[in-house]
Amino acid sequence: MKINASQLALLGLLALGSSLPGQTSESIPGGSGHKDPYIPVGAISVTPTVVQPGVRPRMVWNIDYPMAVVDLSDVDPNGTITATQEIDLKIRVMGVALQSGHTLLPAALWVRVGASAPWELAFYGRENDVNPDVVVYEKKNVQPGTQIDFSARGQSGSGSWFDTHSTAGSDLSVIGMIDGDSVPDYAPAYEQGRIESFMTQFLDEENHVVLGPHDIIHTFELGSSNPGDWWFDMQDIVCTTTLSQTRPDNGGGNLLSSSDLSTQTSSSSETVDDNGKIIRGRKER
Amino acid sequence: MGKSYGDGKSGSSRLGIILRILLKSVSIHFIMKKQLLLLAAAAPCVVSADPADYVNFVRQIQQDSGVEWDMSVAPNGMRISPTGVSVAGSFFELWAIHNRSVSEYRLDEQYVTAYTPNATITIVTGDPYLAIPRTRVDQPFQVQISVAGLLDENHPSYATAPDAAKWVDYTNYTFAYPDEAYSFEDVRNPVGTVVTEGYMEETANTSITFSATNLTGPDLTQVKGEEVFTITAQADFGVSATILDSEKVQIWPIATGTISGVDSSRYYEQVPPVSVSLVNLYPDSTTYMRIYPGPRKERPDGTKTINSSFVIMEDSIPQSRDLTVKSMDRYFTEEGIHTVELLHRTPFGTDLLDVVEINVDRTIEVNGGVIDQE
Repeated sequence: MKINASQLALLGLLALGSSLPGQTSESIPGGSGHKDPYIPVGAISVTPTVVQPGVRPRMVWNIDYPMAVVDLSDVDPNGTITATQEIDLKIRVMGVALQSGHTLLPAALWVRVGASAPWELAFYGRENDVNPDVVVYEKKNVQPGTQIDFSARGQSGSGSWFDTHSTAGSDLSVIGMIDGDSVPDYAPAYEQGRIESFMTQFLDEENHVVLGPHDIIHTFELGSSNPGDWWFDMQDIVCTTTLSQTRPDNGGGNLLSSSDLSTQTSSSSETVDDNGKIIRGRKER
Repeated sequence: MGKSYGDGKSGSSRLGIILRILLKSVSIHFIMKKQLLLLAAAAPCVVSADPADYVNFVRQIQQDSGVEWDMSVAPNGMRISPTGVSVAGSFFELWAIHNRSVSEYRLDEQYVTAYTPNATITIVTGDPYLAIPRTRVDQPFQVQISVAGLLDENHPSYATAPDAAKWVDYTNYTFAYPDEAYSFEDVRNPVGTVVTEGYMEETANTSITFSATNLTGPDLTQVKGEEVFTITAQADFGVSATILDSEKVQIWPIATGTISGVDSSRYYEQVPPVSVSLVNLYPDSTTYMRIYPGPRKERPDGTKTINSSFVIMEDSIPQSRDLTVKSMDRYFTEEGIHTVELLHRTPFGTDLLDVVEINVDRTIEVNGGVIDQE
């Protein structure tokens, strides 16, 4: 089949001029809808690059598609994450807001990677112990199909523990949300503006969650299992989980530091490169 | 090898695409095909999809005949080329097509030939992001160029050799993203600005170091776009000028941030909530506030980080955020002036976005007198 360029261009424009069956918007309601990378990226290497006519060289290629949480995993309404690709994950605790009167109470967060795996303690501490700059839990090479659950509980002033709330269960005291999700309507604190400082950055004016494309936020209510309680604010402990596709460890590429600039050699005004190999202007034929 | 990742184009129908992949050998000259893509780019497109929604193929274009061979491929892999390289060489292009939005992306290309020179371009920045080279408008980056296969002036056949064997052209263009856009996906024929044109006459490795971007704008700190570097072989033997390699680097603006809600001229018994507005946070960054007693200093002691103020970005594009930081009183343990800094840490270092001084006075003044009467 042979089509010349103008015919194909015309076909393309006609095709684009009409609505296409199956064309859908990928944007997430309330979210920015973009992914990481922003658009597909890829590379092809064909070797050898200098060959005799007729030779069939070897092609090696790789494509990275825009990815969001939904492309890397399934997140059920309770917040259980199930990997759909091989992924790495890291967890940060963003805030703890558990207190009795003026006494700050501690909370603990556990993570379980695998439905039958043991629970691992990721964090224990009070509001003042939180450091979002620190990744409290990290796991690489999580295989597709692996279920990742979160569990948390608070400790009373007397040292006894409150009930445990887990994504593996079905209670309303824990929820996992991604970019664009609405906050739970059964937690009136959000509607009433009783938002903890560390949560304000994650909410837009319409109480939709604002997150990066690979982030999931889990919020827990540790003092109650009853959404009717006035203190049921779903902000007692909040953590974010960042997923990424597992990549082979190839040592990464070169990085440029400001000190590298000191290696710059002076070029004459006729050249543009550091070694004087590229001559400015166009060469006459 | 050249990456053309930003080259998303809305293209022809899915049927047409599949036909092209399956039937192979649709004859379009390379230059003409570029025109086709530019025309097709007029339509709006939607990025993002499940990876299963993409069709990928490698296109081998015979430079002398214009015949194309398309081979459907997996997202990654290795294969022998569909057919032998033609006398004038072959272009190999890696394409991905989103089969729901029909957005087309020419991701990369490489030229393989028997006689023309070869070139590779690598862009190195201070950001370790793996997907594509990216940096900030004020940061240095380096373009490393390797050219091979050019004839030396002393070569016996230099005088009779074609121009393509004697030199390659170098160009550097800048392309500013439209307002509110972070790619050229919805842009028809983006207009670039020539920064430099040059040529290279010898087989050599060299590098070009830029202390900052060449993009321009009314506010240089807020420009965003791409710089594209290209090495092109001369037209020869009826073959048009051939791009040997082309690479681009994304340029993102400098973040800004403000702290509001406190008045430096006032004395506070209890520090009120402060509002923080953050704009154009670098895609790989951590932003937070810290407090220390006393007026602003270059190297302060006794700093305390406000743990509820952290904004951590791992993203593909700059982001803006607003937050309210309450209950800061516990960080003000002394009377007098305190300094609150808003810091932004990126792969390039830590920048101060804003700073405010807050005066704390918790002294209880009793207005009254004591009367001593006998």
